[in-house]
Amino acid sequence: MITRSWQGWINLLSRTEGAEPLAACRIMAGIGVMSSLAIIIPSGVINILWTREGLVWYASEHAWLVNLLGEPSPAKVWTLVGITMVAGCGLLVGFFTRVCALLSLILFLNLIHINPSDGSAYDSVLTNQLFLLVFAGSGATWSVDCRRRTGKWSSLDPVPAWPRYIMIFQLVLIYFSTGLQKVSADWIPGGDLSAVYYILQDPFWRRFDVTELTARWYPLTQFGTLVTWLWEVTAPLLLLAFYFRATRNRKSLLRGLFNKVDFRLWWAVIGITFHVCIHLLMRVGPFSWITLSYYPALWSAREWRRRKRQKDAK
Amino acid sequence: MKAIFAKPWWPHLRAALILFHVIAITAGSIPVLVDERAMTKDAWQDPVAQEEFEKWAERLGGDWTAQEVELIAWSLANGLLDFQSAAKAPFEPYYDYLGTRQRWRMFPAAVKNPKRFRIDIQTDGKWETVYLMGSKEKSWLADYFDRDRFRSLLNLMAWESIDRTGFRMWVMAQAADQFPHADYIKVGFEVLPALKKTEAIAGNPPIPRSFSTGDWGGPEIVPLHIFREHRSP
Repeated sequence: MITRSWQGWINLLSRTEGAEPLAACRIMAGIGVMSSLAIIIPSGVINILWTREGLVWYASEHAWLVNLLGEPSPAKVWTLVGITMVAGCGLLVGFFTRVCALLSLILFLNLIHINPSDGSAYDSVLTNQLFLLVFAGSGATWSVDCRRRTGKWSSLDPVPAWPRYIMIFQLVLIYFSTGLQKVSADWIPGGDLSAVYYILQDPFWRRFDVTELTARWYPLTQFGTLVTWLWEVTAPLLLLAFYFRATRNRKSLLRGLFNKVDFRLWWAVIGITFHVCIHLLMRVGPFSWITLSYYPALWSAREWRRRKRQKDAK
Repeated sequence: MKAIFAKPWWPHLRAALILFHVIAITAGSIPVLVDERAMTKDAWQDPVAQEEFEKWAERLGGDWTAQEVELIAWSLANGLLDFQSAAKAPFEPYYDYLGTRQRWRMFPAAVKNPKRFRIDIQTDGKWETVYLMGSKEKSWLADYFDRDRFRSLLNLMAWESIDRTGFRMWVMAQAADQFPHADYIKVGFEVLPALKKTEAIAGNPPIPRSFSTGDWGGPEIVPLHIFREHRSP
C-alpha cells in the first residue's frame, strides 16, 4: 500500500506539460515584486522603515544578507532595493528566469525582514510564489530566455508540472486557513453577518469612508460576508474538482456535476470578484494582484491551448 | 545537473523534498482561534471580546453563559496554539530563510472599536490636530503614514505591546523641526467606535471616544524644546 502510494506520488510529480500557466504566474509575480517596492519608493518610507536614518538601528536576525553587509545604511538598503527591482523586472521578462526568481526571493526576504513590524500578508503570498518559481520552468515560454534558446518568444517545450500543482495547493491553503480563522460570530452564518460592514469602517484599511452607503445597502454587505466565508472555508473543494477531472472515467453523480460545470471556472470567477472588491474598497497594497498571480495555475497548458484554438476557430 | 536528473534515485529524492515542502506549508497553515500575542486574560476582558462570547452563548442557546463560552474558547485557543507551535517548530528555519512562512490570519473578526492615528501640537496655548488618519486636511506626514508598510507598522503599534519609543521620538523630532513655534506634542491613537447601521443611516458621525497616548511608555504631553535643544550645537 505504502509502496503503491509512493509510486503514485512519484508518477504525479514526474508529469510534464507546456509552460504557459507558469509563465503567466511568473509575469504576474514579477509585477508583484516591483509594485510592492514601487508603492513605497517615492515617499521616502524606505529610509524611515528600513534604514538607520529612520527607525531601524539593527536589522532582524533573519535579514542575514543585510547583517552580512553591516548596518542597514541608506546606501546599502537602496542598493538592495534597486537590485530587487531589476530582478523583479528580469522575472517579468523571463531573462535568466530562475536566477532572477532566486535573487528576488532572497533580496525581498531580506528587505522585509529588516523591520519585521511593517510586514503585510502579501509578503508571504509573494515569497511562497517566488520560492516555487525558483524551481518552475516558467521561463520556457513567453520570455527572453525562450527567445535566446529557440529564436521565438513562445515555445511548446514541456516543463515539470509539479510546481503548478503546488501553487494550486498553496492557494487552497491560503483561503482555507484564513477562512477557518474567521471564527467571530459576525462572520459565521447564523448570526447577523456584519463582518464586512464593520471591516469597511476601519480607518487603517478602508480606502474610502463608505459607511453611510454600506449601511443603506446593508444586505449586500451581509451577502459579501456570507460568500466570503463560505468560499474560503470550502476552498478544498477545488482540490476535489481536480481529483474529479483526473478520474473523469469513473462514474458518480458528484463527479459528473463538478466536471460538467467546470467548478474551477466558477471558483475563479468568485475569487477574482472578491479580490477586485478588496482592491477597490480597501487599502491592502498589492495583496489582490499578488494572490491572483496564482490563478493562471488553475488550468493546464493543454487547456489554455484548447481554449485558444476554440477562440481562433470562432 | 542533467546527469543527476538521469539517476534512478532522483525521482525519489525530488518526491521526498516536495513532500517535505507540502508538510511544512500545511503545518504552517494550521488555524488558531487567536494568535499568541492576544492570549492574555486582559485582552479577553476587552468589551468587544466579551460581546463576542455573549453572541456565541446566545447562538448556542440552552443554558450557555458567556463565561462558559469564554472558558471553553480559552482552553480551545490554548490547545490549538500549542498544537500549531509544535507542528511548526521543526520548520521554523525553513519558513524564515526560504520565504515559505504561512501567515493567513486575515480579518478574523470585525473590529468594533477601531483606532486611528493622531498627532496634536500646541502652539501659544492652543492645541491643533496636525495629522488624523483618513483626513485630507489634517495630513502632516501623511505621505509616510498613509503608505502601505507604514500603516502595517501603525496597526501593530495600535493593538500590540511593541516598543514604540523609537517611533515616538522620530515623530517628535520631525515636529520640533517642522513646527518651530510649537511648544508641546501629543502622539497616539483615538478610539473611533464603528457606527451601527441605524446610526450611519441617520447620518450621525462617529464620535471619538478617547485619545490614548499615556500607554506609549512616556508622558502624555511632551515639550518639543527638548528635541530642539538636543539638536542645537
